Amino acid sequence: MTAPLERVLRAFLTDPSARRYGYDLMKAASLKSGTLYPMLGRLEEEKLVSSAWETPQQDGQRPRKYYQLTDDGIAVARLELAQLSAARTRAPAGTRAPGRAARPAPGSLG
Amino acid sequence: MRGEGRLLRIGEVLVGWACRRLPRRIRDERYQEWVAELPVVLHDPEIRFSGRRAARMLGYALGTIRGAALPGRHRRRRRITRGTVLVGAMLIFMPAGLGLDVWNAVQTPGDWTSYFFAGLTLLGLAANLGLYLRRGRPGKARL
Repeated sequence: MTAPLERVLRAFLTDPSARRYGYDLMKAASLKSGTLYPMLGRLEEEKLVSSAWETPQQDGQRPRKYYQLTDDGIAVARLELAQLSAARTRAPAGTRAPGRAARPAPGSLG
Repeated sequence: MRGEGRLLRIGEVLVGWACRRLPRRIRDERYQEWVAELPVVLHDPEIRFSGRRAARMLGYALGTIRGAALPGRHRRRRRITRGTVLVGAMLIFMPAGLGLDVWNAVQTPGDWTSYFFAGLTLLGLAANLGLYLRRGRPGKARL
C-alpha cells in the first residue's frame, strides 16, 4: 500500500459513514488534487468507495460530489491498515525510512 | 475577495484543460465535480489569508491537470495509427506542393495544367484538413 493511499483510507476511517468531499479528503490526507482524484477513481472502480452528488444548499451553488467508503471498502481498509500496522510492528526498527510505506503486495490495494 | 470572479474563471479554465485529457464519458462529470470545489477552496475558513486561499485554489486547479491522467481503462488512448501518420504527412507536404503549383501558374500564365494541379492540391489539402479535424484532435472538450 502506498503512503498516499494509506492516508486516504485513514481519513475515511476516522468516520466511515461520513460524506467526504474531494477537498476535505485532500486536507485530511495532505494530498494534492492530482494525487487524490486518480486514487478515488481507482477505489471507486474497485467498489471500495461510492460517490454521489449532493443537493445544493443555496441558489446558484454548484452541487458537490461526495465520497463514502462502501461496506466492502470499510472492511478492506481496516484489514489492510491492520496488516500494515502489524508489518510495521514486526519490522525491526531502522529497516525502513520513516514515513515510507511498505511496497504493495501483489493483489493488494496500492 | 477582490477579483474573485476572475480567479474562479482562471480556475475553471485550468480545470477545463485538465478535463480535455479525459475520455468524453467521464469528462463532464469530472468538470462539474472539480469546478464545484473551486469556490469552496477559495472560501476555506481554515486558511486565513486571501492570497493563500487564491494560491491554494489555483494549486487545486493545476493539480487536476495531473489528476486527469487517470490510470487503467480511464486513460485516454492516443494511438498513432498509419492513418494519422498519413494525414499528418499530407498536411505537411501538401502546402509545399500547393506553393509549387501556384509558383508554376504564376511563371506560366495561361497554362491550364498549372491551374488544374493547383486546384487539385487545394482540394486535397481541404480534404486532409477535414479528415484531421474529424479524427479529432485529442481531448477537444465540449464544456
